[in-house]
Amino acid sequence: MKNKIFVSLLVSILSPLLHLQAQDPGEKLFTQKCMVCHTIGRGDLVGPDLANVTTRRTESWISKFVISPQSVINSGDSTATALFKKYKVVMPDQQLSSNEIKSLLTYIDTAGSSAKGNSPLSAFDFVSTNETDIELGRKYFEGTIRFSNGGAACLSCHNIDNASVFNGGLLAKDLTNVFSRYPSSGVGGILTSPPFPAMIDAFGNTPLTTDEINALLAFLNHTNKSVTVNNLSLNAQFDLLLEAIVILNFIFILFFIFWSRVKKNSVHSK
Amino acid sequence: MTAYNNFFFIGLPYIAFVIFFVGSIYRYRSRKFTYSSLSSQFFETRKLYWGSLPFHWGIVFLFFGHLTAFSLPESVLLWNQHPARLAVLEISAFVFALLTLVGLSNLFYRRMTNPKVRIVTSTMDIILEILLLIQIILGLWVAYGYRWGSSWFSIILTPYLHSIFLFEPKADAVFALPLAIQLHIITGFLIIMIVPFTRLVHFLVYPLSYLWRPYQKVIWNWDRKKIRNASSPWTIFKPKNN
Repeated sequence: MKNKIFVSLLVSILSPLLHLQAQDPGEKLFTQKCMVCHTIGRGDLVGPDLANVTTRRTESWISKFVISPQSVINSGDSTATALFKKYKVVMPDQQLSSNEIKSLLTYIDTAGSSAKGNSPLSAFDFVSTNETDIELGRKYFEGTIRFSNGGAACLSCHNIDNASVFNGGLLAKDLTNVFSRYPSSGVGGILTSPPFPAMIDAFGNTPLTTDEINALLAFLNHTNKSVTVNNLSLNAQFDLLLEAIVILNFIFILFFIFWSRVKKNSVHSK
Repeated sequence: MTAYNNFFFIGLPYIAFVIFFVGSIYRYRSRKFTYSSLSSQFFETRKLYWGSLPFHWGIVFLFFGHLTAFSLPESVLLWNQHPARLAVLEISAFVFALLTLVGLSNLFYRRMTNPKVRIVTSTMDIILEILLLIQIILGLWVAYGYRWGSSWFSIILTPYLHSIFLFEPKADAVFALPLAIQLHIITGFLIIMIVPFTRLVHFLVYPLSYLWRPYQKVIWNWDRKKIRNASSPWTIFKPKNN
């Protein structure tokens, strides 16, 4: 009796470990590298649904594209160009070996055949968000409230054309109408586990919490609905230039004042 | 593309720093007296004022600005947490960049047009001034076109530069940056690389006591032309220093 209990205990403890060990390398890669932007049979996210991708494209094409999407687009490849036109974002380069790509594709094939009939990923529930969430999201975006893990404010790199928000950075994509470009599950995915190198640097060690992500989603959804892009940021740029030139002139006035006291000849005069 | 990226953002920094350190130390040990800004104030002084002064005020601010974002990124992000403070920092940096551009353009014009200064100008002086001009124009382009550089420098470029110094280079984010920023970074490394071969070495031996002593001006005590002109007698002043 004792032995039976011991064995069953051992099995119950070890079975999850066995399962972990047995995790398909392709599945592991998919979770780490692809899941943020792609589903298998649950609809498009930031990028296309990858179910049956191996029947739509050849393996060599996929390998080339995964390693450097930008060079395939630049080469004028019609499929890559069409994908870029549709999804409006270039997938980041993936440093994967040919074996890793093979295992990834095998996993996508198996998961795709068992995923038939799965419902699409559920979108973020915006109905339950309120003004407080939106305001909190705005403060997170601007950085006036810091993210609890110390991540940088969105405004450092992203802009939103909205008079109520301070002008944001112009390094990365404008987020005014981000929800017109991506589904909320895609935006949520990017915030949870950023796929872009710059965002990995910004949030890799300082991930956002679920509450912070939800507040940001509520705020971005609000701006998406309430704002039409009117190039406010360009006017702000012009103002910046103008202010700088005015201040520069003040500095030169100071230089003029000092100029009157400066010895102007190269030879000492009596 | 990856090979180019690896060369410019991983290889070049190491090449630049090795040449900078080895070259600067070698020059200091072997030709100590060439460690100088080689002032040309003797030859021309008016245009120098309108070039050297704005240029140095601007470049010193920009240098320490970049150094702060590199060494204390968190403090820059904390400062920028309030949009008004962010705007003050960015506009000040932009003003100093414009000041540098005006000063450098004046210096370049002076060096090219004044015959006395032209004669003491070496090829490296011209290469350095052109590189500095390119760098400052690129910097202004980056500040204007990709604003809030003070924030994203601390987020993206500081970890990259730290990774270079820790010999674990990680430049994925830099590979994906816009071309203007990449060119600004590459030109920066090129300037660091040629420091030992130019008069730029003078910043390495800056005499700190100059900061609190009254400024000096380099002038001739005697008018050499007058002294050497046979038609104008100079006997009333005995020449002392030429």
